Amino acid sequence: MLAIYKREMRSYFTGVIGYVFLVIFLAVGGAVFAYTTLFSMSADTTAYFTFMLIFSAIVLPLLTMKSFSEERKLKTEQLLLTSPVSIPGMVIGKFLAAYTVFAGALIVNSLSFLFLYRYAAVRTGVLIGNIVALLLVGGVFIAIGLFISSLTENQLSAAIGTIAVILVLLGVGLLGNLLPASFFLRYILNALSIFTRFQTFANGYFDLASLIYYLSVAAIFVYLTVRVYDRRRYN
Amino acid sequence: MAKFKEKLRGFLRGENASSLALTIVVIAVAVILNVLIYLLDVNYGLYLYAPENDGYTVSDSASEAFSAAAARGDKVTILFCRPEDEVKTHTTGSYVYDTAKQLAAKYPDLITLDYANIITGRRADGSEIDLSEFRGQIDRNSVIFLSGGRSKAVTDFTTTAGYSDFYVLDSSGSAVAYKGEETMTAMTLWVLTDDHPKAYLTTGHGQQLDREFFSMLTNAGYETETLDLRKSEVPADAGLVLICTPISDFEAAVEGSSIRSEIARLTDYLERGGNLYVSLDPYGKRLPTLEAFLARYGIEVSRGEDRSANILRDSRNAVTTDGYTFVTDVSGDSETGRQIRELLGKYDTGSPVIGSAASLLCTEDASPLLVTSPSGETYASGERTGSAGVYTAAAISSVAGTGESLGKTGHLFAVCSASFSNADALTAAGYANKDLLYAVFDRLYGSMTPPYGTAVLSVDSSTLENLTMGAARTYTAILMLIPLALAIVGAVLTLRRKNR
Amino acid sequence: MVKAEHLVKRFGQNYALNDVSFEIQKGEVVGLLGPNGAGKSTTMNILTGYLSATSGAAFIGDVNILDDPIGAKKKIGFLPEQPPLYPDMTVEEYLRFVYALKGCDPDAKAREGHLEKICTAVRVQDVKKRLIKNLSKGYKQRVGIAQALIGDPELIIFDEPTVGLDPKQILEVRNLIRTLAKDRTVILSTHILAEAQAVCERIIIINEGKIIADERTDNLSKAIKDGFSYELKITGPQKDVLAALSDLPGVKTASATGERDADALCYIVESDRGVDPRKAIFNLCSAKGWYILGLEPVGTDLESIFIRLIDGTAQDAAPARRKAH
Repeated sequence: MLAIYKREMRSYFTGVIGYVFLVIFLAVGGAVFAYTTLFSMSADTTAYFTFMLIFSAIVLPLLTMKSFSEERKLKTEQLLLTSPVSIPGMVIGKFLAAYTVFAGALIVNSLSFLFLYRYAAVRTGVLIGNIVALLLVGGVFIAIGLFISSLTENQLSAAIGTIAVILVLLGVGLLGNLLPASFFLRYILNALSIFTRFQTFANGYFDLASLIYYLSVAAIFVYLTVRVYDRRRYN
Repeated sequence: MAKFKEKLRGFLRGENASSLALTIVVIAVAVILNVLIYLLDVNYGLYLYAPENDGYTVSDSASEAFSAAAARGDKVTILFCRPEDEVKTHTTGSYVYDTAKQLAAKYPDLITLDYANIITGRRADGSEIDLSEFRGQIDRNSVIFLSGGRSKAVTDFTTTAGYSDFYVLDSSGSAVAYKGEETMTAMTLWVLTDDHPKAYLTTGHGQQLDREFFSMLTNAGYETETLDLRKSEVPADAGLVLICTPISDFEAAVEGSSIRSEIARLTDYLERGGNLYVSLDPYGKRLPTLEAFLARYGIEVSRGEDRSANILRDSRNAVTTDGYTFVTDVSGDSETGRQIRELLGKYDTGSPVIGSAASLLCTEDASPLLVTSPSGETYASGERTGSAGVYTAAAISSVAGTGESLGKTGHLFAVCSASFSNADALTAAGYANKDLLYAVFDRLYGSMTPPYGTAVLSVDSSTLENLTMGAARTYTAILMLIPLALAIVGAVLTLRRKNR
Repeated sequence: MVKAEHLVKRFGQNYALNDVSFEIQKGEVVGLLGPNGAGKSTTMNILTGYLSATSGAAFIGDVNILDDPIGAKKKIGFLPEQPPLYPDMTVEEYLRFVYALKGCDPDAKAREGHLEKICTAVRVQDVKKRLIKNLSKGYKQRVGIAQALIGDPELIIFDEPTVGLDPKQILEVRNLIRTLAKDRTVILSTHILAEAQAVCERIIIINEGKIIADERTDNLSKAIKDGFSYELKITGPQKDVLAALSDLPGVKTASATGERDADALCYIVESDRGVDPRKAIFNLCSAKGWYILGLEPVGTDLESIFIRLIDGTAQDAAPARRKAH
């Protein structure tokens, strides 16, 4: 698994994808930060984090689109599957590589908040809550991206498919807020909604239930990816 | 048995179609787990952010007043118009509740809290309370202060924020800062005495009578009322008369006319030892009669060529987004000046010029209260165009009482700054409101610090203060530099590698 | 070392492997021979754990590959049909990656030493620092071989290792494999008989998912050649000649090829096992007054045996299957 992790990390930065992702993430993140805080004279980071949530949904697929689809295309998956590496190990190695790049970008971007401390009493708790939430959501998105990427050889399809799935999931959550009656259904949708769980962190409350939620969703998709490979062997 | 084992092994390896079932089961378990945890409202968590809860500080004078009252055996009840647990969890009410609790804890002999249901007219303990005198004035967001038969309701129906009188509101009616300590102390002090100076805000010339101003005066202990000088004399109990940025001019005294003009009334008032506060809009049109009135007491409004907005505005070093900057070098070592300088000390502005202060020129009878620094400079479009010298933003003139009022001193206080009547009491533009008003108190009462002197606690620390556009741009540039550097590094590294 | 037991692999309705069994001892060099689509790659993919058989079991060193996949895969070095190369890596980086992937000793010195040895053996030292995508086919293939060698696996499996190489490169690869074979078990697949002949000591012939021969190379031609075949050029009316030839005792089949040589027609005669029909043919022709203008043995080389076998199994229902001794 470590070998795969290192290889993926190297490939992100010897090819263009790693740089492209970082540049886009940091540039857009920085611009949005400046616009919603500095130029609005406000230390309120809600707008920034909401934007980053949606933005991550669109830009993280960049990182994961080639994860498995390229292996399939190049037939290098044959190497991986005939080597003494377990399938979960392989999937987790790739997951961690994509996650490292994402987390690195997010943390560097978050350093920009230091600027705010000079000018207002920033609520550190809320800030940290938001960053943690975004880290967790990013994990979920990456897991989804890996799964979709394992289903196709075409990178573009992988990217689009990932964005579609993520938007559907986000939409389901929003649906929970729109449904008027059917109290129970609404409750269930809320329980499964990425947004709701995000809010608890955004309010500075480090919620165990939401943590479990994010981890379990990510785990499900990782598991599904492993299953995809398992099934393929028996096909 | 061997066959079963074989099958089991196959199942676990995912060989059979039942592996699909396994997948479905796993997903279902995860979903159910999450829904259950959510429904059970399992609340294991860590609060990373707790709203700041600064201790409530009471100014010395207020402290003395409270202690004296307690010694006298006075009692004050702070009555909420909601049940306790409702107030406790109300978004804006909770802060008020906390403050009241702290105040009551500090002065337990003096202050008690109570909660009433305004519909049934019962207190928390079930006893009745007569709220008929407040009918139409209060709602569930009100707080009533009661002491020895006196009462004061703090309420406001006009805005969307609950308990709005305890907050500073912006133009759209949302709370931007919390000033509950101030309001609470002021109101507590209010009901401890029958003696309230009266402030009259004049009307009839388009004066600005904004809520914030009312609130400020109220908290300073004044009872506010409006006064139309065209119709009536200045009442005898007027402690302070205010003319806040009139738009139209006052009527001059007509020689020989039996109708008393406003100016005449004001003159009489001043010379009786009254206190008059006038603020002018330097961008407004000229008000010759009023200005002539001021000139009589040594305060001339100079509207020379330096009034050009271009020249005096400096957006580069601006404190406010519309280009006003202000630094003061108040003449002398007055306490006013020191305190104002302290307040302004946070503005790192060098020596810019007040944006649109028309200068008030003080002749011998009047003295400047706030002046710009003699090293101030004028700017146009960010370019320095000259040195502005000294501009007086606020001036005060003492008027000696005549006739029956010999020995009394009236005060005429004039401000000519567009910043002044800004409703935003806590933004950079609005500091002028309080500070200049306190400057008035300073002269009037000899003490700058208002009776309830606490710093207003900003509940939503979301305003960036002192951030200049230039700094913002610099930070943004730095932020953009990082991805740019990355892009270059990336391009170089990947291109170099291509041809290996 | 390797055992395949009744492997069946079905893709939808199509049987890629239909009851394949064999056993390979340690140190053997075995060639899997068969036309394209015979099931060679499928067999190898199952042996290496890339695919799973629909039924049947595969054992590497007495361990069922499904029971302990990681342990089994550790013993195998595999070069698939398309070398699993990452074009954006350099040769060096790639080999180091495979080294780590196979769980070899992480010590840097050990690693570099081992890789150096392999690079020298496959002769890719010169291109170590080049990007794989910039290499020629020959070099790519060699890198593929190199990765199979990493970790000194006991069993090396090559799937069509010389496809697409030029003759010089082919020779080099074959030599390399021969060298490797000295102290390891090697399975290699090819559709070129000569290659199997040149490199392997044992050949398993597979066609349409079934094994049709499993012999030591030198035994193969002998064992399979259970009859003689001759090409005859005989004058005379075709029908009569054919009828007469077929009637000869010991002649299995006689057929006309349709070629002419002067006034003689060409025929192919196959005799039964152990029967030499030449004298009988001579006697026949002289009796009938036909001239024999040509009499040549045909089909004694492996190539045609191979083709015959393949065609034979296409026609026969039951495969003629012989075990190696």
